[in-house]
Amino acid sequence: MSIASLALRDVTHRYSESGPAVLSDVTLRIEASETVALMGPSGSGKTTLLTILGLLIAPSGGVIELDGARLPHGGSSLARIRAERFGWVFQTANALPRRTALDNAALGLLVRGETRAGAREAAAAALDAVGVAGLAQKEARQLSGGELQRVCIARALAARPSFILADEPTGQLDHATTLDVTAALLRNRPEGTAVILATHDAEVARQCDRLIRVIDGHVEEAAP
Amino acid sequence: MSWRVRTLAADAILNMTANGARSFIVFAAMAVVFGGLAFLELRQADDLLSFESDYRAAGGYVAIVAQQGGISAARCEQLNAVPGVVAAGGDRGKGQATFTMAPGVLYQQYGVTRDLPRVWDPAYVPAAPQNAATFLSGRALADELALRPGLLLARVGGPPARLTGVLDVNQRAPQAGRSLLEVIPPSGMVDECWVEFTPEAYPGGADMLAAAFATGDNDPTVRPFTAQDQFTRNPSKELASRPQRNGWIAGAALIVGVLLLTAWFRRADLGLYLALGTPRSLLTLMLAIETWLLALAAWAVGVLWALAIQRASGNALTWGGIHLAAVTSACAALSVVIVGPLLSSLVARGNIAALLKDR
Repeated sequence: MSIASLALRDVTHRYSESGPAVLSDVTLRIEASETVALMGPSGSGKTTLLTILGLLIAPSGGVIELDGARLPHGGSSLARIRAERFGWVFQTANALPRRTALDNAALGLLVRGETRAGAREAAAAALDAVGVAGLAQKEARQLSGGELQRVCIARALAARPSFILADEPTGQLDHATTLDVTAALLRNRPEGTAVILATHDAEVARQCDRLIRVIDGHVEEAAP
Repeated sequence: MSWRVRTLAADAILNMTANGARSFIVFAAMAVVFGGLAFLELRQADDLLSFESDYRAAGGYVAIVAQQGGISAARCEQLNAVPGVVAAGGDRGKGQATFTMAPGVLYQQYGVTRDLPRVWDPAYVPAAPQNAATFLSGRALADELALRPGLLLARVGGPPARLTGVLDVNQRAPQAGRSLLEVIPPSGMVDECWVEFTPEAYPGGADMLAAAFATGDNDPTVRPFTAQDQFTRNPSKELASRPQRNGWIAGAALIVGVLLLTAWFRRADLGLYLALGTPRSLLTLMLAIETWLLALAAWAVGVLWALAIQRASGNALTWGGIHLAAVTSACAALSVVIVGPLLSSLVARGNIAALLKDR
């Protein structure tokens, strides 16, 4: 696992040229192995910040640096970086509904270029780590919300990325399941992998090393 | 490198089998369109192709040029090199004493003898000349006198000549069936130049011939071989105006629409692949693999279905009809496999995060 860092410098983002700034002059740095909670009210820019950190959208302005190197705002090289360095757990459990849990957990590795056999082996281990090994052959659509979110976490863990980005992964789960799912993510993350997690739940945030508050598009460090 | 192409193809197949109902709907739509096109072609084409064959055999695409003072045989012969010309040859009416009707363009390079022939088998004539002139025989005469290529012939009082072939001239010049035909070199002047065109070239042929033989104030006259009112239908026009000739474009557009619709309902899945790092080009390839497999299977099933229905309804299957049915439906299938994945991949353009929310 490489020693990684991900940084934003003076990042601003608007969804349209004349629209309001969703993020304004955001500067932050995330080091390898860190767990970072992003908290803030709805509409404050947490998801936008995550999607920029995860290279899903290009910011309107500012710089993204990976391991100290400035990244372009577009181009096919970003897809490769996403496959090799980033793992995702989305707010709405995003999985291929008619494929098995095992296939879904292996997807990140397949995209990266692993063989199917190798990807399935790693995916099975990740499913086991998050406690849903018994559901491996079930179709994703047959799983409950908590089970499916664990499969998505397994997908992120199996790929052993440098950064796992989780956008309110427990937002639609009950409190007990929230703590289980969060623990599954944080405890099982590979050595050196940083986790950046957007959440409304203070108890979830307390399990992280750092807390960053996002308010009206600005970020500020806070005590977890 | 992200995605091995083999793994990508396997994932495309897994997606197809996992979403069996969706795949079946797309497959069925394709099979109905491709099979429908093939069936329409089979129903109409056999009749039209058979009619066109008769029309062509009757000289429907033959034009005749005449000019005051005669026409250059060499110039007429040169038309054989013009695209769209099947055959061209001069007709010397004066030499054709055994029948009055011109023998038809495919045989126009031959004159016809009227004298009784003597026949030798070269096996019994060891001293047969090597450079003998050549004759051809009509089939009726050959059958009557047991003539075959290789025999030596001579008109009474004339030098020996070799029989080089037996012609079936029944369709265009039945009178020549009981004659010996003599090769006439394309030189000097002929009374008429007979030109047979391909069906596509025939409509513009008359103008081309008039221009080719125009000399100052001596304009040639061009007339069709068949009488204008001999046929009330024109097979070329009917083949060109049959609805499925261009209708396959509408069929292909319909299928592409179905593919677009299914891609629209898969936006979240496509967004997931992109978010995990699949390049857009490979996502398009994955959609293409799915489309190729479905379209190939649907085309094969559709055409076989059309053939079976045609056969079951008591109609004969001809190679011409099968060829036309296969080509027309394949045009639609090819358009679908090229355009379908490209347009479908446009559904996944833009903001990946927004696609992910479209569950």
